[in-house]
Amino acid sequence: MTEKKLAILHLSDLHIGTHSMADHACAGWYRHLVLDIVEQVRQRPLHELFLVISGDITFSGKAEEFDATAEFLKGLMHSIGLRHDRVLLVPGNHDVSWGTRDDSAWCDFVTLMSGPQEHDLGPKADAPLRSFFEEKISFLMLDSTDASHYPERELRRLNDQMEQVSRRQHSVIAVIHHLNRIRSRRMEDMEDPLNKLLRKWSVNVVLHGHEHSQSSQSAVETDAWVSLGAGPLSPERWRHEYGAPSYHILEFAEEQIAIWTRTFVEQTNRWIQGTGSPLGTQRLHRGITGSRPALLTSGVGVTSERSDADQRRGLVEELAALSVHGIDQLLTCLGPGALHFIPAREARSDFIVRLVEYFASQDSLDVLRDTLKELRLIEGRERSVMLICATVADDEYVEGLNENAKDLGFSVRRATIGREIEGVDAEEAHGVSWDDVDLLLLVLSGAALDVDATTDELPFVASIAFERGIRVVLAAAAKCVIPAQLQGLPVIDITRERTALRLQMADVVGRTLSGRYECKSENG
Amino acid sequence: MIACKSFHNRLLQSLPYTVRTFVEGTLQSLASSEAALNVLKTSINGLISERDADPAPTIVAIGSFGRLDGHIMISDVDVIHIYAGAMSSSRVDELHEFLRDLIQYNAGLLFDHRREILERRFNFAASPAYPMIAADDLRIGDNEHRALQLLTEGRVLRNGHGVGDIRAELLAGFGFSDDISRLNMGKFRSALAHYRDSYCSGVMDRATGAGWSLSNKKVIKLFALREFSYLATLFSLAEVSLAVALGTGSVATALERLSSPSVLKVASFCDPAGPLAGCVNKLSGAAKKRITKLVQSHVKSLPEAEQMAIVEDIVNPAEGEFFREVRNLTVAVLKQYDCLLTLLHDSGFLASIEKFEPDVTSWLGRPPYQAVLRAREKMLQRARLLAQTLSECLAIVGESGNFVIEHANAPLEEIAAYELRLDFAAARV
Repeated sequence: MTEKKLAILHLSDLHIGTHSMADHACAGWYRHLVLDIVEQVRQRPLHELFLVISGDITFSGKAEEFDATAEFLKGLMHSIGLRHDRVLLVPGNHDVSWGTRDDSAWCDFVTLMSGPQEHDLGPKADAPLRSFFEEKISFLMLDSTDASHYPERELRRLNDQMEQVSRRQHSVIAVIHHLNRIRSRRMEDMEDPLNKLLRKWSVNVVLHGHEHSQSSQSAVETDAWVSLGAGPLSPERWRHEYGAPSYHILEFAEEQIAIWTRTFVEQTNRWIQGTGSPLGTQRLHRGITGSRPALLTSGVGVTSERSDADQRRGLVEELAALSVHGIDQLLTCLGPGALHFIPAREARSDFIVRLVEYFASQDSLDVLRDTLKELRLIEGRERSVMLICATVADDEYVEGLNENAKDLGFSVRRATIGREIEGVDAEEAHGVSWDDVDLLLLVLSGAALDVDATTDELPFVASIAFERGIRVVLAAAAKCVIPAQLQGLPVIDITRERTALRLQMADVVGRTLSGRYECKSENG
Repeated sequence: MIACKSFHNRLLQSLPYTVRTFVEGTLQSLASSEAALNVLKTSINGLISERDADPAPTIVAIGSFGRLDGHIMISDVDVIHIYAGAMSSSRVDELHEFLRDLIQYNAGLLFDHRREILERRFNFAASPAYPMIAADDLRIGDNEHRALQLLTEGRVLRNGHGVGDIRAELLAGFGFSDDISRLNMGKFRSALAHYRDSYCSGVMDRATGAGWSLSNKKVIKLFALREFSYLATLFSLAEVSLAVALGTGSVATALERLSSPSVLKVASFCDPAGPLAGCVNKLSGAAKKRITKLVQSHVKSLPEAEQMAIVEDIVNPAEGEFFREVRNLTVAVLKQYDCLLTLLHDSGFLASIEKFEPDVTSWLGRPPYQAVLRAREKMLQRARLLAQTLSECLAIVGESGNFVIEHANAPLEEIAAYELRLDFAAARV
């Protein structure tokens, strides 16, 4: 039984506009963001993950902007295997259609993303508190888009809910767009009823957005709580006057919260590990009331073995880590029946989801998993294996070839065929498995051709290699008559002296491994 | 850096949407190279204004940053000083001091022999790094490689006024003329091939322990990028010759094309306003159909996924069917180049390469090196296909009798016959 830890992916100020996903560069920027998130989440596989977005999700609160955002978020959720009930959203000032104050687009969006709730904009406390894991942790979702104070009636209801939470010694994380609505340093703020209520019930952490500044992106400990700002996460809005784009992953452990801040560096066009540090829980417990509840004294949620869904999610994560080149290689290994990936028409993350779905529908996910494993195995190997296959009559040449192959960086195995051991089972008798072989070197001197059965066996061995997609090179004497079945294969002249032989071997083997000879034979 | 910026912008503007999506990795390199050169230029200007140097040196970036395909984490910044007239020993010392300051103030950029230079232990005279050359000497045959560098990958960082004339003169020396009857770029092609070969041999000498330190990741990167740069320059030479055949070739446009970033040199064939378009548009309807069919037949030889790259939501009617097909072939080259760059910029991959022995031949049995070989070969296959196709197209253009196509055809044929350069012969065995 493995206990899962809690983690929160905190995004803010995405500012997705109508053209954000239509514009190539802009959509590419968001894709890049998703890939970085996927990579980060992949490194934390056993976490119970929540996605918290602290407002300014769209640029101006238009329905079409929410549609574009929903598409983006669905892709992200799919890529990291996030359920709808783990998505927590609060609005920001950019999510309000200020002309009409029509909330329907926001309500539809939130319903779509995190399930049906009461979502009217404005300071209402109908359902601001969402609890998880037998109510060990609660999120207080605060709407700060209306500048007015929370109505007293709503505050009373919120107070009642918080009282319940407090009795159960919950951890409470407040999410709000405008931190200045509850900032606790000024006396007048402390007189604000909402501020007083949050202090009274000892909120542990406040996640916020809006500020777009470097300083707000680090955890700030106040006398009441620890606040942490994310964003901006938009390619247009960060370029000049704002802080660099950033998001956080908060990992909750028994003794601390680790805050991993990811920051985008424009100059290198990369996401990097930014500032971020572990916060000791004792700091979070020290509230002004002295009654702040312990923060997750033990992990939340329990899991046993990984479920099918988890495994599928893991596979998506593994695939997401592949480069474009890696995807190309994977598709080559999967063969012509597999899907095509055309970057011009599809984001890599979307393709990966499609690939996994495609295999799922044919009940053949294992094929994909095994192929990926095989690819990793090949990539993970230190040296390629060259199988030198010769008759006993060619021993004098094998030694030189063996040494040269080792010098070229290969791990060498040897199989003897001919009179002594008949058939291809010979390699099994020598402990060689075809599965490990990357290149077959068939030695073919005039002497070898005199050995009984060799004339048939060498082409037979070559045919097995062909079937398995193993590249084949002949090491033959210059005047040797090559059997018709083996003609056209790249040839090394084994009668050369060692240095010249090594150079020729390097050249021929190099070209064979690069696929050049393969290409020639295809064309032929 | 106005010059670089304009190249970058030109690249973005001239590339159709589909092409751009395939060269994201390359654009990343362009942007980072540009950023590095901007930093360098600012630093150079600052240092020179402090010193009030007279005459101000001409400084040109060459190598991967000059080609705008540098990678800040692994590429060295190479610069060359060009001066007019004679050079006194005090002036040489002054320039070395200037270089020392430049390196010191740019801690974020990689420079060859940084430590030795900063500690004043580096012997400039005995090293080919940080060359200083008189403008007059560039015209001498012995400095053919420097002349080529200036023409094909030179990016002026300081005092560009004097360089323009030298470059025009050098180009003429290599056989360029805007008159098709006098054009003969054979010397340029052979110099280019010689430059590539000698460079690879030089690198290999250093890699095999001839007293030079060169990290494995740089060796593997240099081979791949040099090869692509060579092929891309041959492509641009074909375009330059085509422009002259069309009557639109000038020294300025030739210099711009030949010193463009490698990606642009390949991608510009699918520019509906380029010289290829100028020739094709003057063909008869029947010839246009024939030429389109020809390109389509080559596109069909691509793997299915690459053929489908042509599908786009927004079709540019001005582009026409022929150029959409040419674009498909161009995209195929760029995509493979992008895959190669992705591999070469992957930190995990580079870390694995760095563990290899210095002898390049011993890398053959290593899977990461094989991945590079495969990626290079795939890129070459697509380049050969594009060159072969363009060459066949030019044959049809030539049949019309309107243009002399031999000069444009020669570099294309060279690409079509090009094979993967393993350069093991240069290795010390």
